[in-house]
This record gives sequence, structure tokens and C-alpha cells, in this order.
Amino acid sequence: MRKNGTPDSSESTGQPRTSNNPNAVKAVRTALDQCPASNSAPTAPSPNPWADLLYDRLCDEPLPALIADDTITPAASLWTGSRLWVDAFRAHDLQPGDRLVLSLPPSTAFVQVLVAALWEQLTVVFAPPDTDADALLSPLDARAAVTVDGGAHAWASDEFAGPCTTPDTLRSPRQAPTPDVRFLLRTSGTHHGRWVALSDRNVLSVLASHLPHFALRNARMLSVLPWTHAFGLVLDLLPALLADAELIRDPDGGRNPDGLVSLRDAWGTTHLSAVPLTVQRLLDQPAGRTLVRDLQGGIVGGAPVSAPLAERLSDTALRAGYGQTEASPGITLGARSEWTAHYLGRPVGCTVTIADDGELLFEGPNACIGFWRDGSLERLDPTRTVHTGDLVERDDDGFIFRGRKDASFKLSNGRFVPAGPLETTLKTTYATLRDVLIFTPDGDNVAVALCPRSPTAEVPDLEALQTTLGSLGNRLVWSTTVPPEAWQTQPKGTVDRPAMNASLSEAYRSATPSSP
Amino acid sequence: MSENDAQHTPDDASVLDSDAAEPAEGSAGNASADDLHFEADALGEKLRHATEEQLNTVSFGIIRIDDDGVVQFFNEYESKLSGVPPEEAVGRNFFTQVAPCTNNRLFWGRFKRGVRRGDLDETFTYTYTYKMRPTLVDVHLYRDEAGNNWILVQKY
Repeated sequence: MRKNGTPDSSESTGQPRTSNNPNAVKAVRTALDQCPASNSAPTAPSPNPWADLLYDRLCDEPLPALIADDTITPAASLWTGSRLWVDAFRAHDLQPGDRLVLSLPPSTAFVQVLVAALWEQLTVVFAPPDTDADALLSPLDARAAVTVDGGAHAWASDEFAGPCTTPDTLRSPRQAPTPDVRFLLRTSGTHHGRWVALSDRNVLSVLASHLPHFALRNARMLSVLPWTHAFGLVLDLLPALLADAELIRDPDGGRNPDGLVSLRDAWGTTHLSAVPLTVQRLLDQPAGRTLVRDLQGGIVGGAPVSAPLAERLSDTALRAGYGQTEASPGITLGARSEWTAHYLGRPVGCTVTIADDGELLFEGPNACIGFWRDGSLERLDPTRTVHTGDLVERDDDGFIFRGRKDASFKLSNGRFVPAGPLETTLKTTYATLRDVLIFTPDGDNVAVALCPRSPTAEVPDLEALQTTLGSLGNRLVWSTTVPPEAWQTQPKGTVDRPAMNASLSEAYRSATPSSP
Repeated sequence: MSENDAQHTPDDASVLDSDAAEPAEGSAGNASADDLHFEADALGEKLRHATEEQLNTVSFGIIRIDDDGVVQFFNEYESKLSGVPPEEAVGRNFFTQVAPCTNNRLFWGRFKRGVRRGDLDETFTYTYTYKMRPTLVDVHLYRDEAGNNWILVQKY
């Protein structure tokens, strides 16, 4: 059957006991107080800061509730399902700090396994559901995995009620358990993808600093972000679980705006956190615009927000959010409705400074505990200053993104080309441009690829671009227009620089036969 | 026994609604046990013409509650599934005492809205916990023409 009726979006909950969001903030802070501040390897078992937090929020409770695949799963059933996983883990003698690969789609089972793993103080290695989990076991030195299909060292998960198969055996790890590492998350960077180790303190400090800004009372959160990434895990899923929200999971991960509108119609929606591309797609259609404008809160982050999008977001309740997996992933937040092109917000829960070259640096409890590299944990000083690789400018007490430091390059004459900030300048100057890429086709000169907002949008000619680029304009020898459908991007919508550089260099050679 | 049941004479004590002998126009009339399956047409109207014995023979959960959510009838199937004896469920509030995991907008909120509007006919899928195990069920909330409120539960 599974034909859901539509709850009245204006209907209050059954009982006055609805959201204990203020209590959630207090509970998170209490949990955070239990976390050791040191990043040194633990010498004695530490208290589990998640235990009371999860028990109080989930056991026997009607909220939070997860709505996925047209099925409502209240907290009570998330909890009892997690107990089945706890039993399974204990039956196989998984110990605190044992590494467990979690490779499931965003689902009831995902939440149940996560809750059980937190309860047992395992180190959870997050992998997208289409990952070959078996292949991850050895490099992550994991003892086992939980997957859809199971395997020799993996449980297969039932949709709602614990494991449906058990592993033949668990792996014998080469390295010691990592009980103070709660999550291992792979960064999304194409060039520098790596496994970031987050402690309980890392994650709880970001929850404690960010939750008060979210206004999640009686929230119905439309969830589109992947829960295997830091943004989706720490700033979407966990806040919903801790603040008694209804969490409505989009099976398409935000890629289909019509699907999001349908979910809004079926369940109501008050909050949405997403990358700019998802919000842009919604704003491009009338029903999606209404959805976005009716939201009571949410974060737009993960990629820079262009000037036209920022302008459209100014009359919404959405706010800018910036962070990296290495920052657990919270560094700055904007205020509701506070938008300008590439705005990142103000520091939240950490201290931010700008280096002489414009790079954003931060210090604080959100700085990751270390990295998993070459088969073992590399611990880092928790008091260190973290270099983000992002170039920024100060904007009152907030920051404006100016590009990636690693997008910069040098020409053969030694001239430094800060490509990121220059691309931002071009996008800000020419509103018809959706994206820009500056590259060197030959090492001596620069070229520009322009992605227009629409097929009919007028793009600047070479002379105009040379003028805008100032002294570097003398080195600009070629520009080309690439339609949006051919503009290669990463999943979060940022340009795929290596792929574009390769195809553009080839196009340059074809267009300029005399080039070497 | 619920207060409502106590109003019946000994002869019709096992019939859930006093107008069963004269079904309202458009209602399903007297139900046989064979008519009572979860996806039967007009199931909600058939229920009030069924005897408690008939309601106890079906293979899905049947709960009748008043407008405030107090349980008036709790059939044997639901009792076995939940581990809650009928005599412990009857007289208690379904949403706060018998199945507190339903105390939210998604379940009780729908019920309250339907009762307030006098029109309740909602079906949705829910993950109940029965005997400490999450269990997928279809839920049908229905308010019949005589004002009885029914919660019907079909386990997958």
C-alpha cells in the first residue's frame, strides 16, 4: 500500500511536547564537556559523550522522525533498530575504536547503524553506498563493514531492523584501535582527497556552536546532502536527530527540483541545507522558488555563491555557511538573509585570521584530530593553526571568498597568477557569466574559458577581458565560450579544474595551429 | 470494558455500534469475518457492524479510540503483535500511553486534524516498534459515519 496521506503542514504536533531544541543545545554542551581536550592517544577509556545524548533524544520518543522512501520512522524505532546493531557488534566482539566502514544509502538503516556505532564508540568510516567497501577495509585497516549486500567481512543491513546477514569473520587489524577517532571522512577535493579523522570533541564543538543558530524548533528538514560527507553528517543529519526534527530524505540527493517540490507538498518543509547548485535549480522554477522563499532556515555552503544567486537569496531565510571537513566542518556562518557574492559569514566556534597572502586560517576545537594516511593515524596538534587553502577578503566582521590558493600558478617568466581571485573578479564584473576558468595553455600566457548563464547571454570579448585583468591582460591570448552543459564540475558544482584544463588546452591547440 | 461498550444491552454487548441493526444509507451493512481484510472496500464502515469476536479473528491490528485517543477496543492480533494485553490497553491513551512513538504531528497530528474536521481517512507507512523490534506497518486512520475512530494496522 504505502500511499501516504499528507500531513497538514500547519498542524501542530500531537502533544505540546514538541521540540526541545533549547534543551538540545544544553545537552550537546554537556556532552562536549565530557570530551578530553588533548589529541594525544588515549591511555584510558574515556566516557562516551554520545550515550546520554542519544538515549535521551531517541529512546521511546516520537521525535525526531525520519521520513524516507515514504515511510515514517520515529525516534523510538530508530533507537530499537540501533539496539539490534549494538547486539550484533557485541556478538562479534567489536571494541571501542575498531574501525567500521559504513556504506549504506541515506536511510533508516544508516541512522540505526550510526547510532549503534556511536553507542559502542567505534570509529566510523563513511563511504558512499556505491563504494566497493571490501576494497576500503585494508587501506583503512577496518575490522568490518555494513553494506547493502554484506560480504565476508560485512553485515548486510535490513531496511529497518538490524542486520540480515552477518560477516563470516572480522578482519584482524594491523594498527591499534582508535577510540578517540569517531569519524573518518573522505574529503571531496579532487586533487587532495584524503581521510580526515574527527573526534567527538571536534563534532560536538561544531554542533554546540552551530545549533543555536539553526532555529530548529518544530523543524521539518528536507535532507539532500550526502550523510557520508561532513556537511551532510554534522550540519544536517545530527542536528535533526538532536533537535527532534522531522527529517525528510530526498532519494535524489537534491538533483531533481521537481522531486523536492513533491516532498514539500507531501510532508511540508521548513528547513533545507544544500550546495548552491541545488538551490539554483529550485529557484529556476516557480514551485521551487516558493519552496525556497517559504523556508524558515538552512545553510547554503560547499561552494561559492555567485552574485545573481546571492541577490535571489537575500529575500530568503537561508544563511551562508563555510567550512571544510578538516574543520568538522564549521568555520563561519552568515546571518539569515545576509548575502553578497561569495560571502562566507562570520567565525562561529573558532578563531579566524587572514594570512599575508590572503589565505584564511583558523584555530579551535573544530580542527580535526588528524588524518588517516598510509595505513595509520597521523595525529595533529589540537592547538595548531589550520591553513584552509582558501583566499578571502574581510567584509566587516565576515569574509568574502576570493578563490582557491591552489588554483594559482606561475608563468614561465615567474609571474604569479592568482587564478581564483581573478576568476571572481571576472564573474563579479560580468553578470552574464555563470563561471570562469583561467589557465595557461602553454606556460607563457593565459587563456580564459567563459561559461555563460544562458545560450543567448552576451559574453565579454577578448579586449574587454584584457582590460579587466589589468597588467595580466597583456598575457591573455585566447578566450573561449563553453556552454553550461559542457562545463565540467564536481558534484557540489565547483569547476573540475583538471578535467577542464585538459580539454581547454586541447581546444586551444586546435584553435591556434601555430602553437607548440 | 470501555464506557461505550458498557452502554449496550447483554444481547448486543459484543456489537461495537448500537445502530448495527439498521445500517446507515451507504454503509457496508453487517460484516462477515471474510469481509474484514485490510484493503477491503469500505472497511472502515464495516467495522462498526462487526462483533468483537469477528474483529478478533482478523489478521491485522484493529484499535478503536475516542476523540481524545483513549482506547476503547484493542483486538487480539494487535495485542499479540505488541505484547500488550487488551485489558491493559483499553482505557489508556493510545498516543501517549500505549504507543508513545505515535505522539507526533505525523500520526497523532493527522488524527486530531481528522477528528476536528469530522473527516478522517488517512493511510501511511510507519515503523512501529513491537517487542523491541522495528516493524514496518501500513496504518489506516478512519472515522466512521457513527463517529467511531479506528486505527488499523497491517504488518508487512
